[in-house]
Amino acid sequence: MTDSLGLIIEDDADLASIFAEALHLAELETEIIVDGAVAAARLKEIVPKVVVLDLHLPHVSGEILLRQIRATPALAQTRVIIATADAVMAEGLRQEADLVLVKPVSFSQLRDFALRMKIA
Amino acid sequence: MNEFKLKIVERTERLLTVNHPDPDVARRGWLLNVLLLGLFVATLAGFWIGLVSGFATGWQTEGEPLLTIASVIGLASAVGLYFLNRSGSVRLAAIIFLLGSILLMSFSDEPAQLIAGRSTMVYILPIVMASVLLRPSASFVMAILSGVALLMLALTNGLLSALFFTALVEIVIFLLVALVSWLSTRSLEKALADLRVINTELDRRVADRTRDLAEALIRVQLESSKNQAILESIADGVIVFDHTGQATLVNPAVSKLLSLPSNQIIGYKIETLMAGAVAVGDQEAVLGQVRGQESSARLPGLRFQWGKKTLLASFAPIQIEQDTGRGTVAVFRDFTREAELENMKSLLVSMVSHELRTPLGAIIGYGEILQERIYGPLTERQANLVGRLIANAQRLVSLINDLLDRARLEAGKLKLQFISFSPQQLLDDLLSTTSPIAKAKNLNVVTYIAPNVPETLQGDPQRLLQILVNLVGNAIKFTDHGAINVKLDRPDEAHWSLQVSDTGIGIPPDDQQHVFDVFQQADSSATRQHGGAGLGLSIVKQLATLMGGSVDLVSAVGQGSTFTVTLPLNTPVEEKRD
Repeated sequence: MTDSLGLIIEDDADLASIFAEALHLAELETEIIVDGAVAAARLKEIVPKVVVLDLHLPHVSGEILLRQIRATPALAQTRVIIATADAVMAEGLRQEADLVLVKPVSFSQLRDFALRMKIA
Repeated sequence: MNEFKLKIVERTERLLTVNHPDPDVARRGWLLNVLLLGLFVATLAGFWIGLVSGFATGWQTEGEPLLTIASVIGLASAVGLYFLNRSGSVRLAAIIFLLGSILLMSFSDEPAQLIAGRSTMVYILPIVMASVLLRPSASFVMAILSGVALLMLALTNGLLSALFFTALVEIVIFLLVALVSWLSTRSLEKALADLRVINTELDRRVADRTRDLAEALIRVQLESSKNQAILESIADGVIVFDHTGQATLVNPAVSKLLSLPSNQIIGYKIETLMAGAVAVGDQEAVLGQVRGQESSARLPGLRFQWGKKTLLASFAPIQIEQDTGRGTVAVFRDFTREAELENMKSLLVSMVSHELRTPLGAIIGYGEILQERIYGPLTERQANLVGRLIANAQRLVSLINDLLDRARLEAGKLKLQFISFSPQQLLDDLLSTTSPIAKAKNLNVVTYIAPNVPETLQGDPQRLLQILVNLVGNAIKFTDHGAINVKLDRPDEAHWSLQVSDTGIGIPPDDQQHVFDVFQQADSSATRQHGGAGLGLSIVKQLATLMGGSVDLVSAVGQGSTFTVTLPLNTPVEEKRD
């Protein structure tokens, strides 16, 4: 089950539901978390296939969450898509993330990328 | 001893002086006083000699009483004439003295001796004295009077016939003496008069010079107090550093600005003043400007934090004094408020753009979900509306992006990458971005790469794409039929170029120079017709400039426009690794 989990960490409810819809179309099970601290705890329990990560999050920033994922051996296979409005910050994380999408993120683009990642 | 001598001389001098406005009269009065002093001393001696020898001989001969009485008369006359002379009647006193001396001489010896003997020459004394005491020519009068006295003496003593010829010779001699005396005294007086003129001229010059100096001094004081007033009233802080780097002059504004009393600034070096209040990097920059006095040109301003304040400082070299080296005048402006405003502005821009982009992202996302018919089929009209919804939201997003770029460019915060990229990839990216918009207007975007363009270029592909998207987007906007041509070329060895041509409405010549200004479209009605706020071209220009290139425009109304961005060709440089 965890093999096809898509985790969406995004504090904007509308964007989160759009991202979830895209991942859903890529045939991933989806879970939405709106708080950075909650996400940090949850990432110790689950092994998602794909994470869609916003950078500006309450309590714990997306940048720290990305570091946490990269430092967790269990999450070695997890693919991270950064979805942010902050193009400058995104540029700095390009090396660590699997994909960087600058908001507004194209729904169909996200769906296609997620699909490719799931198959890979 | 010396002091005592000086005192005596001074006393005597004061006794002899006659105060008179005419310097000649005063001089003659002084001379007369000297002669009277001589007479006084001589008669005083005569009086004592007469008295002593009279008592010694028991007053047997007639000589002693005569000498004593004559001495008393002489003493009295000397004192009387002295006071007459001191009272200012120098002339009268001199005449009386001269006449008296002739009279005295006429009785000083036996008549025969006086007329043609041992004592004749005593008459020369009043003749010479007259030219000195009265006037040069008075010696002739005195010579004649002496001659008359001589003749009278001869007549009364019955010696005229015997000594007439001798007396005549004497008178001629008297006249000769008078002549010599006249000549010498006259030239002396003339020399004195000349000297007085020279002295007067000299005095006048000294007075003039003194007055000039005093006036100049007053002027300088006025000027410096004016400068002082200016310095004290300006709002900017001013410190003047001398050639050793020490503060020598400050104004009240700088004390307020740096929260330091002026006595804690003057005499200190800038590095001492900055210690603890200014970041180390800024200290070095400020020091460089204070010391870098080689160039006489005004140095550019420097912005830095001093304690809690943001200061804008400018430095200029000045010559403080003739011989010492150059100093520096530093002018500090309080830039705290402006810096705060600038920070607030950029914060506002990035926040607003973030806050705007999030809901727009939601609108576009939901639109796409509808467009993809995930929630069921759409009628043609519904699909059309959803398409317009997305297109408008995307337009808003690109406008926000432009605003953000513009703000970053203005703040100098936009940083360019410098990496290798493929020109072909750049054009592919361009086509994937612009083709949908072009297709919507039934236009074709045609790309071409000249064969001499290298397969790999150096630069910022994202920003180059932005330039191309802006230019092509613009071209599509203003073109209704025809094609958009995009050409990558290499005009010369050191440059490569991006060229975007359209067959659109063109830009009138008068407006061509303004199209790169912010919020400017050639015709403001075009904005309404074609949309857009006119930020695109100003960003193209700024980006091209930032990359060390330039933008040129060739356009004809009704025929289309061609924008050419020319950029330096940077061949890949091997990165140095240790």
